[in-house]
Amino acid sequence: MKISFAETIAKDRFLILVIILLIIPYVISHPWFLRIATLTFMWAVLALSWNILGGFAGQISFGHAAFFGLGAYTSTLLFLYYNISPWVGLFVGAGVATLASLFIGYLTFRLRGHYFALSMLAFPLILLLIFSYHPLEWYELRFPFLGDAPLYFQFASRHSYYQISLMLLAITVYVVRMLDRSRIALYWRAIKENEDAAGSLGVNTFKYKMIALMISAFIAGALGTFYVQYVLTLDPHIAFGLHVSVNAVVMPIVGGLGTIWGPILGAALLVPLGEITTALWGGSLPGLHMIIYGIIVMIVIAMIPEGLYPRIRKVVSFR
Amino acid sequence: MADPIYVLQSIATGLLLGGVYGLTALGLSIIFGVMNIVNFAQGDFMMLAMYATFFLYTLFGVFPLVSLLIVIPLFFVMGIGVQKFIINRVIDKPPMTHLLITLGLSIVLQNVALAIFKADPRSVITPLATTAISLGPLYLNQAHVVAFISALIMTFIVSMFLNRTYFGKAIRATADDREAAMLMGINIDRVYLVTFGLGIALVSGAGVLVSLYYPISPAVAWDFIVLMFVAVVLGGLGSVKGALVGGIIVGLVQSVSTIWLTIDLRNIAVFAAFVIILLLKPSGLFGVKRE
Amino acid sequence: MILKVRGVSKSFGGLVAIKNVDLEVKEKEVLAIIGPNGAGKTTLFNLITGFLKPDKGTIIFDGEDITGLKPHEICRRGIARTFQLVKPFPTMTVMENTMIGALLRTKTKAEAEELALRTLEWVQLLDKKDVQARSLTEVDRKRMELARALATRPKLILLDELMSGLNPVEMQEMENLVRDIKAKGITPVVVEHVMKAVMAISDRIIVLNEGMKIAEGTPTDIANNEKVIEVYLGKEWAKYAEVK
Repeated sequence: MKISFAETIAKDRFLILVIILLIIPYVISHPWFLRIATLTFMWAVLALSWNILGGFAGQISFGHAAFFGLGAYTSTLLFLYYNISPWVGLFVGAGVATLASLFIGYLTFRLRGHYFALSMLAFPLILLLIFSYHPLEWYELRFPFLGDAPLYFQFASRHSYYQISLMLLAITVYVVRMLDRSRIALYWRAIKENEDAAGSLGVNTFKYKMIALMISAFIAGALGTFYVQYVLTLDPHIAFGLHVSVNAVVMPIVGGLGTIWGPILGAALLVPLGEITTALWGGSLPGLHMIIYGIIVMIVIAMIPEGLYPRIRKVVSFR
Repeated sequence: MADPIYVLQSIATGLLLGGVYGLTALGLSIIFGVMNIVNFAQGDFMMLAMYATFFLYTLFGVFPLVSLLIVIPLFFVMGIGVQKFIINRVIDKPPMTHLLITLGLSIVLQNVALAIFKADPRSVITPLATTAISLGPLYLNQAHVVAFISALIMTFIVSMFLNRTYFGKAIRATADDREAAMLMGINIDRVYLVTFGLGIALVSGAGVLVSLYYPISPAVAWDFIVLMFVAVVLGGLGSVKGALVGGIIVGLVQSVSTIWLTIDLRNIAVFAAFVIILLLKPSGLFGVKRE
Repeated sequence: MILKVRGVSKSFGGLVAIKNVDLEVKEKEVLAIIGPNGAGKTTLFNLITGFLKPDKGTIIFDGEDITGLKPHEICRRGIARTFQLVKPFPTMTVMENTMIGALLRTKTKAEAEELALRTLEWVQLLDKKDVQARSLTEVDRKRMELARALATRPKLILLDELMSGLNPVEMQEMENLVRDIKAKGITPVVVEHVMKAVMAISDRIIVLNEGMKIAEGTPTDIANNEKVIEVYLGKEWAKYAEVK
């Protein structure tokens, strides 16, 4: 029974969401909304990228900022020193992040569980220290404000950034979907559920963990460039700071580890929460947003460990 | 080549600071050894203890070493509370669960401190930090020496507790084999409560000592937590001797590396050493292998 | 000789787990490795399947030196195993579990599905193919572990304490399965504690004690071997010596 094109689209809930999101700014164009949405899309991409290694392959890493930051710095330095467009820098940065992941994975994949998660923590910290080294003068980079210069990834209207980050999110979701249906995903799941058993059945666990890591790093590196081009400022903390690695872990886990909607939901919850809280009480009660963040993490982990999305699905399917 | 006195000085400082790092790592290590939990919030309890020391000193004139007597019992009780109401909920869940819940706790503690105390650093200013004892050609900061000696004493006391008392042995038995311990009639719940309480008490003691020479701010945990992890992993999660040795190694690497690296880069040497040792011996130098 | 183990030794820190063990497995014979707890039987399996690297010695499979290879490489070459404490993929179904093994030898997911179905049919687990692994009974978990390993189309299969925790009926079924495996041309090597099963299915037995081989021979030889009887305190043995 052939399904019509229209039906295919109707069944694809994400596609419908994207279409709605594309239309919304024509109705609501408040800069606040655009800003929060743009940031949400970006963090969702980061969360999705982490989820490939952490959710699909089951390797929880606390060092995702390393790849994000390397991507951000690569494209920025190429732009500031050599005038290379960030559109090109994006791919170079993603490439650098991927190479770094090859090196890092080679070192850390022999470790498991806690040891792996903590050892990954070391890398963004090392990078943060290196990039803070004063003689390099990379500790506070500002972009020349070019106004409208699409070829150099700067746009006059916020709406453009919104659309670009939404496109990036869409691409990422489709890549992740493709991966989810592949043979590799089955291997990842086997590794996640019992690495020893997987090995005994002929699965080259190192190779597949590495593939997950590299894809994850590539996307994170690309995102780094997008992010930096949006905020137009870069320092070692923005690039390699712990909040990046923590967000990368917390958003998928709160939303639903190993699912596709989970990381998106996690970002959709935590980013607007953060932005709104900071805007309303940032001056009088610094840190309030993070207190709420921390409490949410604790409550979700303790009470809904599988994540919000799987729980919502379970509840809804009983109606 | 560096002046030999300068090198010796670095080694001495590294040793002294390392002893204190060892104490900070000890709590983390014991908690992991017995309960299989990595407490991300360990450094933040230390931070709270540092603030407690500060306020006890500036508001009530209680000298830091004396405030040990107040802070340690207080934090022991706090630790028991945290275990009972928070950690206990996730005790038998997959390992990443407690890593994340303690991460959440860490974020909450840090930001509550930020909201209440604001970000400006405070210091406990006593004559100790500014005087030095001379040992031959070396000058040792008095605060460092006092902290080091106190840390050693506390480590020794804990070691005695674990090895000589009934409850201490119960704790070690639980660490070795939980099932067997249960079968022998050991009350595991109580062991967990005391262990976590002990772990927090130890790191709070370390916090009191550290505030003798280190500035206090809400995010100070970050300056120490990674060093703590490194010390524990180096020495082997779950080993008392290991935590101390691991701490000293961290202190030495950190201090000696300033001969070649600038101060802001010295932690790179520690992290690099961390990665190297993890690769060579994932279970640490003395570790009881656990995952 | 499908498998030759020569002079293999392994120590952990100060503890010697396996000392200078020689072992040969003939194609399509059922070899049983027995010995008291701690004799090193599972360690030997781990050495053969690449989960541990021997300190000394070589392991030759089908004419190729496989010493020191990683588990997945060894599986590729035709050695499969089950674990003493079963290691299922808990949230995956029986079918998915088996497919992971099948994927090794097939090019497409569809082919793997077919191979998995056939294997499940063989071990009589087909009716439970969509059940989540963690919901299975112990005996079904063992069956699944077996199916999974068989789906990799091995030449040699190492079965670690297949019979433990089973009732007599289940044990009989497993015994038949092992004979079936042998009939299909796969060489089974079993580690077992349950003597009745060992006597029933093995063609040859090797006895380990404290990491060393102390006896080798047919079931009757072993049952009457003084050294072996000493090691096991003999009572059970005398009974089965009459049976074969």
